Amino acid sequence: MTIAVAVVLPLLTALLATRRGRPAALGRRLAPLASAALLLPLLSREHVDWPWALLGLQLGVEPWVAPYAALTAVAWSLAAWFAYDTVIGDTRRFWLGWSLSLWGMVLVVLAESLAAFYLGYVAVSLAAYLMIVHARSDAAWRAGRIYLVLAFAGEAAIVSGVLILAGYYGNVELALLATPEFAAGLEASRALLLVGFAVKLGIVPLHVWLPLAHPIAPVPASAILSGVIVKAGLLGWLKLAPVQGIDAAASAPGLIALGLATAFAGALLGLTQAKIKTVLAYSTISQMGLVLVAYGALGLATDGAVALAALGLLALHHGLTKAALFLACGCAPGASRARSLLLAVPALSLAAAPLTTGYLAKTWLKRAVAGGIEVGALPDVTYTLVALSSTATALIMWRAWRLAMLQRDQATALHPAWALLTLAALTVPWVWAAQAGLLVAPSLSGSWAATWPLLLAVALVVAARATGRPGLRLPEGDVVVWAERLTARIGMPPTPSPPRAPRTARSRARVGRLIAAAEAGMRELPVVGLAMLLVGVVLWFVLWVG
Amino acid sequence: MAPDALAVLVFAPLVAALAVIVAPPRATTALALAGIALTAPALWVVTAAVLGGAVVEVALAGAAPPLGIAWRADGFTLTMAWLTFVVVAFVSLHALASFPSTSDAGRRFWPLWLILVASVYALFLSADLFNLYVTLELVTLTAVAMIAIGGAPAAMRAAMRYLLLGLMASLFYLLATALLYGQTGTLDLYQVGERLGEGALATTALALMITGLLVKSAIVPLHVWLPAAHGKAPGPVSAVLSALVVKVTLYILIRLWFWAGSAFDEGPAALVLGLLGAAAIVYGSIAAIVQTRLKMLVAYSTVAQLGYVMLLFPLASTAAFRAVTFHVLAHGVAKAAMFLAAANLLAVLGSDRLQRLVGVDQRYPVNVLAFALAGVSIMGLPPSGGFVAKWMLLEAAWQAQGWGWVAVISAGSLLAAVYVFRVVALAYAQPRPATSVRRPGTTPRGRFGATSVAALGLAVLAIVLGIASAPVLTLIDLGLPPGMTP
Amino acid sequence: MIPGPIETTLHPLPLVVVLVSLFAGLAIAVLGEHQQRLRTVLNLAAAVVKLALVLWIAILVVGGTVPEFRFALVPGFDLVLRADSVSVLFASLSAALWLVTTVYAIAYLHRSSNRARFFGYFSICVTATMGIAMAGNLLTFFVFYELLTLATWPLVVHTGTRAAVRAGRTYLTYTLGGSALFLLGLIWLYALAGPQDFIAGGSLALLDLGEPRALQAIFVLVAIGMGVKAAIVPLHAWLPRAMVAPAPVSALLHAVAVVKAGAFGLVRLVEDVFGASLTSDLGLAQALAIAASITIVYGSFVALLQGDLKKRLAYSTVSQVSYIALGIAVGGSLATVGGMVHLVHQGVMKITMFFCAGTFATLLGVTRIDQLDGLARRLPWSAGAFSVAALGMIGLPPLAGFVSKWYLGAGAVATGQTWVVGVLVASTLLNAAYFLPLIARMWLRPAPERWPGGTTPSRLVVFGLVAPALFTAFCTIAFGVLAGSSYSPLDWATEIVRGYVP
Repeated sequence: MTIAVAVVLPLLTALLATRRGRPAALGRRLAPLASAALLLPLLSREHVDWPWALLGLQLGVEPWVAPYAALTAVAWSLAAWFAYDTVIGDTRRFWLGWSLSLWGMVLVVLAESLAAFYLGYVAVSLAAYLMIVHARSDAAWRAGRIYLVLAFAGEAAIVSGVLILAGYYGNVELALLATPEFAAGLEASRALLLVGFAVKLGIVPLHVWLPLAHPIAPVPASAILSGVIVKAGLLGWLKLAPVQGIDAAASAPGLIALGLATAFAGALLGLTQAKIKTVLAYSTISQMGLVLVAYGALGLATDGAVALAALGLLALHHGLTKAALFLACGCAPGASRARSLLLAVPALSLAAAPLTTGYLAKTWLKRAVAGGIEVGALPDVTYTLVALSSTATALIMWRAWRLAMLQRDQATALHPAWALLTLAALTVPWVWAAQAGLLVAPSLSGSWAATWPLLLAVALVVAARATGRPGLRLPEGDVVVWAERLTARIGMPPTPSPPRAPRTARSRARVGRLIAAAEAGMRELPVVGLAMLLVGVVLWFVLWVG
Repeated sequence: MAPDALAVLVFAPLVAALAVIVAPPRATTALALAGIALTAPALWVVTAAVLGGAVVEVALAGAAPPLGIAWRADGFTLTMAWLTFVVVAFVSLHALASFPSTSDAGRRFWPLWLILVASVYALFLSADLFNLYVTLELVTLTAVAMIAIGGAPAAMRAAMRYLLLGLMASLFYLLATALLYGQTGTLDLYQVGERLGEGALATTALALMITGLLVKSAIVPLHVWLPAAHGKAPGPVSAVLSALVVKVTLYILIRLWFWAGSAFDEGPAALVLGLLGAAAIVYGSIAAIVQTRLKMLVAYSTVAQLGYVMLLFPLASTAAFRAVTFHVLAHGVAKAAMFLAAANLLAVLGSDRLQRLVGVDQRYPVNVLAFALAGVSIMGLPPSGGFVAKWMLLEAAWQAQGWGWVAVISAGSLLAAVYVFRVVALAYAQPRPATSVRRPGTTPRGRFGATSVAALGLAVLAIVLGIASAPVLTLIDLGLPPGMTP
Repeated sequence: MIPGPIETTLHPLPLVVVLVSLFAGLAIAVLGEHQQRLRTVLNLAAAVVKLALVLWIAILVVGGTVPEFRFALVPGFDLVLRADSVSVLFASLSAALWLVTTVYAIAYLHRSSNRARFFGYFSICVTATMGIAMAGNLLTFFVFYELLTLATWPLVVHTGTRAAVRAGRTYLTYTLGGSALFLLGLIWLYALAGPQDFIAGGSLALLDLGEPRALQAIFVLVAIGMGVKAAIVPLHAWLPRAMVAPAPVSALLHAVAVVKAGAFGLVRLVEDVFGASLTSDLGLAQALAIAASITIVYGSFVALLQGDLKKRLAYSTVSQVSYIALGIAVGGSLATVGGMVHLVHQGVMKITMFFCAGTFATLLGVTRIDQLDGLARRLPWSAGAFSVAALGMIGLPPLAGFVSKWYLGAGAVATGQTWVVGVLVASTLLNAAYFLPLIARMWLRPAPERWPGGTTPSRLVVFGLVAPALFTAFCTIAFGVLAGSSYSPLDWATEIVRGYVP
């Protein structure tokens, strides 16, 4: 029942969103509730099996999925409140996209069977497009187009992987994939799924759509795109390509290296941006690099359950924090000291300053990496690089802060949803940490380990300001600009078919003249006589020899 | 009773013809229809007897062969006779409207028509060579007269050419008959072959006879008289010429070949005949495709379709015989329908140029439908008599491993599709406003006038033949040549 | 277990189903042009009666009866009309879609000329389709297959324009050429193995003829005959040209009758004549799978290059219909289910799109893709139906197309032919590339100042144009969402395949 409510409510709001007038208004009012409804199954821990639906939907909240459910419920409903007040213009398509992507996300979170997950994933991918192109500006169309191209590129890999899974096990119960007997022989599927979901997460070099698409959407949509929807990719990895049950040690170093590369590349590229939302989007890329590191390290972890819970913590922390930061962009954070503070705290949290949830999440990430180093699967430098990623985050947060402080328009109201979400970002992860047994007693060494990367960042900032050179500026989405030029010709070239000459008519006339001449000739009496004679003689001959 | 029925078959139309000549014009219709209608019960009686396992025979004037005239009816005869009846009945219906007995043309038409019917029946019944010659001559002469009935110069020219070639062919045939009689001392169709020995004279007789029959059957390259004769004749006449008159000589040829004993059963000669048939199929179809007039197109289609009959000689199997006989039936019905439909369109349009047919379907849908349905059978597409015939013929060719024949049969029906659909496509096309069809002098007949009904009826029958083929084939099986078993 | 001949019951129902629309067609033709009201009533009544009869048959079949009617067409060769579960799948699809297409056609042609002719042939066309569905052997199939060719040609050339007549010629050239080869194959088959009825698992498989070369040749000949109608590359060229026909005809060609008949024929050929295992032993399954794959990718690719809406849809059909052939060629229970169920799914999806394309053209004069901008503002329901169908075509869940793709892909993997997944994915991407822009244009772009043309008919007519598309779009959703429930097309197809792949 609770699950039914959580699944049906977003559909209901989607339906209402297609209408005008009062039904539409009702739908908008319901939107925050529709996302909050996901808390119900989280509390009830219900499981349902609907064999009649699609190819059989199994839904439920497994313990390790709880942080994702909480993230979706909290971030989405507060963002919905924010959107209710701020999104203007023709909002029907926006709310349709909003509701449908929520529906998809709910399914992704709850899915316990293959088809259910895929259904949700596709819904969330496609519906997000509607939010991205909400502005209807040229930039929005471009971002939307690039988003779709990459989404479908990812989709291609995902559907291949899904079909291979389906070929082996049908509409498999996802929990089974994490068992050794099921995991065997699925390397191809696993690889395809890793690549496919990496698009959603913005792993370099598949990140190019993200800095274009996330910022172009309205503020609340950016918040859930960057905070929540990217986690659909992570859930895809965890549910469809689980590392449990396989020998993940071999692939772990590669994944971790790629994750670190993404973490640094994302941050560095973000520093070259001039718009705060774009900077935040690059920061998401960077953070997803860390998520990839954590995912890779899962395969090396001795206690898988704890590692999984810690990954959940990282996701929850990033999701809420990033959503709060994006909402800040809509509230003129430079307008007052209080607002600046409201921005600064989550920013510091993201940079893993001590006593923040980010610090806790980073601690567990470091432990996972350290574990890998201990067993000799990873080089020692990994640990340092993970620590240094905080420096990169701090730098990009500094950049965001500087840009945010330029927004000092007093007329823009401080929306309570922003404040609440910031509060949630600072508290909710602790709840999960407590529940999953992830609380770590504060220690001096730990605090120092978290602090020196920040001090390094401060030093770098000071140094940079001292040299006083203007920073490098790159276009949003960096390399996508060249790719676009290459593919500009793909589209809809008009192909007028050349008019065809009536060839058959002419050839018919030609043969007609021939036949007419032949007939005229054959009608001549001497010719007929000759023909009769000829036929007679031939017949005589063949009758004779026969 | 059955032998008497044979007499009725011939004499009812003949007496009616004489009566029509002497009676006043207003009685013509009744007399003619009575003469034709009477043949139906007669046919029924004979059929019942034949189905009972008998071969109905009668010796006219009390003298049996080899001296007297013998009539003989087996399944093959009856198949042809039924075809004759059906086609004649429908064409008569058409003629009631197109040759009203009160008109000049009508007064000339009906006696000739009845004589033609009587001679065709008599020909199918004849069991000796001379009798065949006489009836054949009668058929030819009445046909010539009927072609010329309208008096148009083009029709006269066509009739004259037909007459000339027909007479030449008759001479060949007569000469051959004389030679055969000299060799064997009999004219009985069923005995002459057994008594015929080897030798140059016998061979010459056979070659002459076959050549003569080929001319009258309009087998390529001796077909030259047919397109003009059939194309220029009035509608009902063309219909009966294509459906029946060209078939009678083929009937004689088949009788001679398969019944008259081993003398005709020669491999190389059969191959030559088959090749002529193949040539007819291909050449006739192509010629039909390039025609610019509707009736000429239909006439060339006949040239092509006659070719299929010739394939019987090389294949020479039970399957082939059934197929070819069925083809003769299917083609007869369908082609009569086609000619009637074409004639109706010609009558209302004032011209049968194909370009004039554009958009004609909107005003005369029944005739276009009749043409199309008949076309389905001509193309050999299911469900139609033509399809059943083609199916069996292909099967026969396949069993005989005659891949060449298979190819020709397939190609023939594809070529037929080209010319049939060309006509129907024009009829279905949207007329351009500028070239609206000129209203001819004659008033367009109602949608379900007798002429249209006759055409449509025959066309529907051509389709029905394909579904109800079983009883027909039962009849055919009773008339298999000696040596063939069903 | 070797499947044996099935138990059948002599029953006139299959014949009645076939004859209902034949009589309707003849009556319509006889009534003539001006009896509009009576014609409409007759059309709808026949369609409803036929649907009811098909449902009756379906109930019989579910109860385990296989009604059959037979008589000798040529002595020794029976015309067999038999309703097994495959027949019911195709027949119910055709009967249901015929009803909606009739509604649509009445609205679409509300002012056209030659309607008596149109609806006459329209009914005969469905007669032929029913005959194909119920055919119990290859000869019967051929008879109705040809009837279908003949009955659709007047519909293709219906408008009578030069282009229409030319398209009709192309259509005939391909179909009659194909059927000539089909007939040769049929004769050869009967010469080799004698007359035989369809048997699940393959009637030839039971005979153990030996002669692999001959069997291969027969298969190729017959498959070409089927492939022409199923528009398998390179036999597809008639289909895009036939787009000049009125929209209901396109709907019929693409979704209900012609193309489907070809695909259905391939199903019969592979499953009921040769049998899946014999087909694959002869190496024919592999060949068919490759041909289908080429068609899928090529069709989608060419569709991408089309600027005309109906042309794009036509090439999309070329691609989509080959999913069916691909499914049965890949073999195995999953893929066969996928192919079989796509028979239905492609039907409802594609017919929706053609309905909508016709509506766009009639009401707004929109025929080209670049004219679609903002169309959803004027025709939100039609645009919505079109979008649903297009998303289904791409194969997105929870729509019907996804279910087909899932089974095809999974089946290919299960039988070790993983390369097929690549084909499906390529087609998915291409489908997305040529359908998504249309949806985006309709819904997101601003509408033009004035539309290219079109008419403003009465509300009833507009309803007749829009409602059928909404119904089929609803089916597209329902067949996907409720795929797992009893008596869904998927469930039915699974039952059928249980008979084919024990």
